[in-house]
Amino acid sequence: MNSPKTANIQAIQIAISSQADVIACRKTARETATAMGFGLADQTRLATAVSELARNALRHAGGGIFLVHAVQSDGRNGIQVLVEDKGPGILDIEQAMQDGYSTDRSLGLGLPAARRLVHNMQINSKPGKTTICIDIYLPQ
Amino acid sequence: MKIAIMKLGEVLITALPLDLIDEDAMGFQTDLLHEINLRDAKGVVIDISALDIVDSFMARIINDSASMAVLLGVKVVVCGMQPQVATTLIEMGRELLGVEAALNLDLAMQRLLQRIDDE
Amino acid sequence: MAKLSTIAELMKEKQVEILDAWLEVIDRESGISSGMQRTDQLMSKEALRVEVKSLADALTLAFSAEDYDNLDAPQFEPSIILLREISVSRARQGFTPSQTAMFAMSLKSAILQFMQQAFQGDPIRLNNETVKMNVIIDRLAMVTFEAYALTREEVIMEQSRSLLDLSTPVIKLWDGVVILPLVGIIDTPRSQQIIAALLKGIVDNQAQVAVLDVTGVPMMDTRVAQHLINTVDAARMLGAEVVLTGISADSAQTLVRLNVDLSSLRTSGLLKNGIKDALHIMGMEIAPKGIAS
Repeated sequence: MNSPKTANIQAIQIAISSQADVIACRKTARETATAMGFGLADQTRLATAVSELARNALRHAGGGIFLVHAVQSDGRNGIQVLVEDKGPGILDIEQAMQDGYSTDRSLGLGLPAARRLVHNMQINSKPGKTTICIDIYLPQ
Repeated sequence: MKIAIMKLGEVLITALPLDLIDEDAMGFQTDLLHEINLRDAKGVVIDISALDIVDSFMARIINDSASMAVLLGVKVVVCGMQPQVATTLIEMGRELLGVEAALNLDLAMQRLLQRIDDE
Repeated sequence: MAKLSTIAELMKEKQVEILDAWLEVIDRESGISSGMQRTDQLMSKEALRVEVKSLADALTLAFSAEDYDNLDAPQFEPSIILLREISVSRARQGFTPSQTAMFAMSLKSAILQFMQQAFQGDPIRLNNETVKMNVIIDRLAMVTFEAYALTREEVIMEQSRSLLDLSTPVIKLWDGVVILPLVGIIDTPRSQQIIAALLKGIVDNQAQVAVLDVTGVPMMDTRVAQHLINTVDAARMLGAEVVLTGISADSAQTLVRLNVDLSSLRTSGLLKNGIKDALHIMGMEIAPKGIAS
């Protein structure tokens, strides 16, 4: 079952290389969420999570790639965001997911905070390639 | 981009703009602290009603600016947070914002003047 | 009496008598279980008679079916449609499942005496027709029950949806003061909804104080307390103070035994005192007429 809402959503890719790009990423994520019918609260959750991930890529890897597209899981429509970078990678993912952890003492709330705002978050990381993927779904 | 910091009586009033980049946010923090000393302010109001996203970095900037201003001996009130921003901050980890808040600029001024008077 | 050979013929021949006997059984059976409303309290005698009459007509056609093992036969269609309609309307009117099932089943005991009379002296025919009647009515009763259960499920879904919306009203108590009476169980989705409703109410009313009344919350535990603390923190970030009221003596005992720390919140047992606190924060008080300070 492919709803017209999902069918009309185009995948958008943005190269992250500056602060302005981080802002463009979260704007794009919010616009996609709005187009799919997400409420104000979920739009804000997604945009905030994207802000965390995009900023991380810029800070720790000097930049990366952002991709947003529509997904479906168990008949529910949602949005998936991928942020990929070529940085040194996250050595200990479990540790990085703990509150207060940060490699550069910036804040250390980014990853666990982003995780709490979305329905699903997956991290694949090795030196030279880190991919973080988050999903958020419309209420049934 | 420089953020305007205005003086009204003994109070400094400032409003954070939408889509502030990190460098400008850090610049604002420095400017605000200098202005407090320079103008001998007793209170600060930071209006954040324009912010539709407050991520952990931005929350840290606001929190730290307030704590630093308190060190300089001024009272700080943050006003105008959007409801969905509050919801998101709570879900992210609720220690993120610990500053005194007010619904709007009017109430922030009232509260601030009251607290300055109390001293 | 003319010689009858099938139950369908019997239904036509003795229509009025069977109808009366059937209504009598319905009347008798419906009052048996104590505590439930009688059928005649839920609908009028005339309405019931019309319903039973049209069902009897539909069943007469059903009994004429040769292949009664298969409910797909066209003869069953009117009965099935009618029984579904009846079940749906009964489920919505608040009939119990047994009252609804009994409606079709009760024809059995009503018609049996007429069958014994009509087929007297022909035990084989009596046996065959009785088996047929039983099989058909049992199958139709299943249809009734399925339709009833489906409708009840729909009703429950509708109710829980409307309950969720209804149970978070933010009411303006005074200028700058709103009250949110919470009713029901507080789980994570519900607490998100409560926070959203409260924050919207605070901004819409420009309220500086919100009274959160939990008198209608049946169970207080660590999780519920955490949801309440989050709600209060969210309101504080907007600049509104929250007064939590309606904590029962039981809840107070439970919370302390569970080591839940609510000392950062303003709390009170009675809603009355919470309202007083809220007005106090706003610089107001309730005083007898004429001596307000």
